[in-house]
Amino acid sequence: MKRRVMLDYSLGEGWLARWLDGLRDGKAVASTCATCDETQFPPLRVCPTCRQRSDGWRTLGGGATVQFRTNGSDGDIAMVRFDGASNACIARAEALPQGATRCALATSPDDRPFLALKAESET
Amino acid sequence: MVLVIGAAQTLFNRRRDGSSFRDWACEAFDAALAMSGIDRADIDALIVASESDFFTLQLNPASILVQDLGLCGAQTLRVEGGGATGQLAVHAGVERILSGRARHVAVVGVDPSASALAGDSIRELYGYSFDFWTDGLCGVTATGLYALSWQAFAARHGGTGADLNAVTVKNRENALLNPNAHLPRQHDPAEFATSPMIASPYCRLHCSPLSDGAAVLILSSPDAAPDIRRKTAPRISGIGAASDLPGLGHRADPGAFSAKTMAAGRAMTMAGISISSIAVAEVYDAYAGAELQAVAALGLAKDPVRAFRDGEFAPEGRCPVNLSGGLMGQGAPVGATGVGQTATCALMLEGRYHAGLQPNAPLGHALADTHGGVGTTCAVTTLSAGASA
Repeated sequence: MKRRVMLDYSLGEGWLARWLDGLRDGKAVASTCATCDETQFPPLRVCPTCRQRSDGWRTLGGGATVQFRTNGSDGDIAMVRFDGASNACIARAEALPQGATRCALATSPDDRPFLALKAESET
Repeated sequence: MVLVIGAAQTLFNRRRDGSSFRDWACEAFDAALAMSGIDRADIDALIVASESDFFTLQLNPASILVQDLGLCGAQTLRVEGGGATGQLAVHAGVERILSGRARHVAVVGVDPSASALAGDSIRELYGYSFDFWTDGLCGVTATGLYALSWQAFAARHGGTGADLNAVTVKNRENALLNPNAHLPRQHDPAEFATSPMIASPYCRLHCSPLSDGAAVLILSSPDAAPDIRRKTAPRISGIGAASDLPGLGHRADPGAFSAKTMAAGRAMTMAGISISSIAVAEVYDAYAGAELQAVAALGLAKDPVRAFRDGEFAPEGRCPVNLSGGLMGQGAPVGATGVGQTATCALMLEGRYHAGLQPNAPLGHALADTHGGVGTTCAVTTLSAGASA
């Protein structure tokens, strides 16, 4: 039995809209917690340290340091920490030279905002 | 405590025989029911573990399985928790009995994870197992995230590619004696060098297969119908679950399965035992390195890599891990995986497991460990041998 289902989703972006808009503009928009001075990128609605509601937004510089990187047929992915962030994040790294330890946020397409990296010298 | 009076699973593999997930659920249920010695009418509740309606193309799968299994009238519940789906369903069944809402519960884990969809579709769907808004949108796969987590673990604990190969060899060789296994293999070490790289350092051989299949447990209250209970029926002595932040980068240590440590602690506190009591363990080895990460998180060894290299988790070791072959060798029909792990432990504790894999010495306690995401949704179950086993 064969059955084909095609699904076209329209997803509201909710409280993450500021972060997603930042990716579309090539800006690293992070959430902040005044209580414990944490900056989360990607943002978290509740600070993982003090469990208080994150209370603001901050645009980071956009530079980042590579912590771990993997590549193969499933693509080129890195775990990086953006300057000024309290945490690391996962990002696509195809445009980043192998062996690079520094990188920067690339601009995303409007219809699919996602974290992608480029060489830091391109900033 | 809760008795396991029936335990069975189907072959885990990629079905090419035209059968459906409904057939597999019935096959495993009939076998477990026959082992239990109770009748369909005795079953008060059906708990269904099924990870994704995208695989079955059936919303509310419990509503059709209660019909196929002849259990209409029973309470039904469908459980989903990513890779932990099956183990969380076991927990739900245990809780039904401990709360007094049911005397006998059937826990049915089933998924057509291998044959229903093409590989690219499955890969995309599993990308949504993580935070879609962050990781999913960037197109990262499960293999990519596990690879990054392993790198963080290896940086701290010293694991190497040779360890990944050795875990793979161990589990697939264990599977050679498991007639229900998807990938029973004896790997030549040279195979690893030519296996396609999926997400470094994970090559294809380091990845568990997605499988079709089902597993079923029949759980019973010790107070229910004493004439039908075998004295040797093993007990579920502890259940524990916990969660972590889904984003690896948000965690203090992206290589540590911290929620698994919490889940195991909760299960063992409930059971009143320590990890040193565990004689055999079925742990969640979706990838070769994940087994060592799980061993570390569960506390099965202070130096997990050294202990593995010393053979402590080999079939003849101090605490054999994944005698069934684990996900790497036995396979992974996701909803059935955790139910199958618990069934494996129960059968071993009662001395009913496959010849050649059944430990020779009587066993006291066993542990089944599963997680969804990369150690995000964690569920651990401890089992103890029956009084006369």
